[in-house]
Amino acid sequence: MADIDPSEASRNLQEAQTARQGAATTLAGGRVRWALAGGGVFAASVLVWLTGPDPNNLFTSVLLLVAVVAALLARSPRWAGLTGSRARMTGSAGRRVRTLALVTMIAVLVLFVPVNMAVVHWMGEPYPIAGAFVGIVLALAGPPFARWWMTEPESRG
Amino acid sequence: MEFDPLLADSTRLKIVALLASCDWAEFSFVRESAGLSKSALSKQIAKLEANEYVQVHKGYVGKFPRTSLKLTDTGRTAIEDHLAALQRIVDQSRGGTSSP
Repeated sequence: MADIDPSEASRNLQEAQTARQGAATTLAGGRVRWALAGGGVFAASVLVWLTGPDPNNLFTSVLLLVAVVAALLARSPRWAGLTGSRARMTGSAGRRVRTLALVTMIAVLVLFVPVNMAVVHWMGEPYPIAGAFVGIVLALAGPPFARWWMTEPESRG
Repeated sequence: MEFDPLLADSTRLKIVALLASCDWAEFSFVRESAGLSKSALSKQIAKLEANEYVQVHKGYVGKFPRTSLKLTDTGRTAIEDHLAALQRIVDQSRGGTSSP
């Protein structure tokens, strides 16, 4: 035990902590594929909205199915890559990532209420692609917020 | 709680600490997070695998190779003991009471 001096021990502990924190931050931020998928879904939903009568139920069902399948695939080391996941965090880092996802989803849903009210005010009918709208906002706004949230409090601007 | 000679190397410590916070992780994710080259990480993983600290799963998704890494129970116990031993040294140097 005497082979390692306190300063080296402290440095090693700090490096281990940084490695864990860095992994959590990278994981929360690496969602480019989801952002692109969200954009694709949004564009497709707008096309269907312009050509179809009320695709709201169809899109909500499809998005729900995609979310369930993605959640199941994300647990597998072999198939998780298809969903954009590169690791599955456990312990406190994993709880942070999952809590952040939940909080972001709730925040986006809350944000959607006034947006939808504005659409009703201007267009006279509710926005029929709520699911796709929430999906794209989540895909685009989630990662930057996640990166900010994952940094040390003293480093936040 | 003892120091692990294998984890005395800071690169290996970083890799194992990273894997300790994951259920599993892709090879490329660990490489980028640890800031290592492909060959450097392969070399370290081979040592860790030989000591049964890390499990390597090589597979394919379609045509693309996908290698995932997972810390074994042996590796998990080793990193916990190693970090606890380091913490004890730091605590002792600060004059605090250390856990037995």
